[in-house]
Amino acid sequence: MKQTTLNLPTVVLSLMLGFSAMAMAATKPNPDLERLNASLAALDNDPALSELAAVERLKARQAVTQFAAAKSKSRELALYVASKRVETAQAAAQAELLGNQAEQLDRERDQIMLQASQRDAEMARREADQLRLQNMARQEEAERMSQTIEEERIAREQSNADAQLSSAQAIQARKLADARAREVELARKEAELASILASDNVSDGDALPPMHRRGASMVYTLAGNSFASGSASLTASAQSSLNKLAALLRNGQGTVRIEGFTDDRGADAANLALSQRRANAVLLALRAGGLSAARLKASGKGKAQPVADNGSEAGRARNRRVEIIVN
Amino acid sequence: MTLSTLKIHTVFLFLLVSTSVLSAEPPTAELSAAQTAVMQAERLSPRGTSAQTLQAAKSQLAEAQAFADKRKYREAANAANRAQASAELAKAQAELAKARMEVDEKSARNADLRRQLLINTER
Repeated sequence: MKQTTLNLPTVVLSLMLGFSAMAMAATKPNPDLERLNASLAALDNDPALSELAAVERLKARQAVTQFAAAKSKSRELALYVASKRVETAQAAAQAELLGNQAEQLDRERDQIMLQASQRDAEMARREADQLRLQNMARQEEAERMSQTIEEERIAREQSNADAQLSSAQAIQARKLADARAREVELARKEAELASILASDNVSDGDALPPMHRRGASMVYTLAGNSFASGSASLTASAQSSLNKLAALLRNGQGTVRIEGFTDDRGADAANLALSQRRANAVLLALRAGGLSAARLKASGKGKAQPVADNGSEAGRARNRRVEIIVN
Repeated sequence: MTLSTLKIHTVFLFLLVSTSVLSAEPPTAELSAAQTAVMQAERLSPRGTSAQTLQAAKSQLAEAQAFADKRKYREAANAANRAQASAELAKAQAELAKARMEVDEKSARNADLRRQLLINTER
């Protein structure tokens, strides 16, 4: 019991010394703790990192707190863990920052691709516009060419029409000139006839056969009484008239057709033969009067081509005739 | 030895035994957490600094396992805690390196795209 009483002051003294040492140790600055706190403060104060890696920073802060409260025998472990947690928080924050930058780069890439797409679309639009303009130009050129071709075709047709018109006009003019020349020739012939008539002092009984125009031809008609009945012999008066006619036509160059006709009485063959003989008689008379045989041609027509009604004697007398057609 | 002294010693012995029994539990949770952290860091295929940190974590984990095998559970738990902290740091360092590489690649890619866009625009 005595020993216990003696030991108590010693124990109390020892405890007081221990507490004093612990107090001194607590108040003594810990460089490791300050370094760790400084690292955490730097991380918190970094504007780029302050909001990042919240979980890792919380773990680091807890580890630092545990280190600050750690007893001496676990201090080393606590320091190691706190140091690693702080480093982990720093690395995690930087990794998260870089992750954000990577996302920003992705958005930037998307923006670039969008710009590229917009540029491609713009280029495609410009190219389409250019092609459209070229197409319009080609169409306009084609229309111009078509219009030119059409104008040339119209001009060519107009030229052809003008040429045809000119040709037609030339033909018409030539025909008109021919008609006028023929008219002049006829006038000349009439003048010659008039001259002949005047120079020969022709009596009424020896006059030329009656004449009328048939188109461009002059037709002299010997009446049926120029021949004896049923005969091809010319009467003296008819012979004289034919002489006058031969004299009139002698200097001409046109052909002279002689066509004989009868009335409808009697057989057709007989009428045809009679009309042929009478035409031949006239041909011979004209040849005798001086006309070239080459210009003369005789034919018998019989009862064809009557000029009057065969029902009356007067009509039949008119149908019995020889026509001398001068071209 | 008096009776009082005997009581004090008895209480002290009881406390000592109790502490020994409690510390006799193997640090399964610490070892498991450390192993998980190491595996997560390994998945990132760390290189450079992070590889060194991971190697340290592996060594610490092996040390923890060795302590545990020797039934030195307190030392095993301490080593496991170190291994977990080192492995998590290795993982963070690997992620940082990977993010830095990704940013570099994307920056270069964007620069190339901008250059191509500029060339095509001038064409």
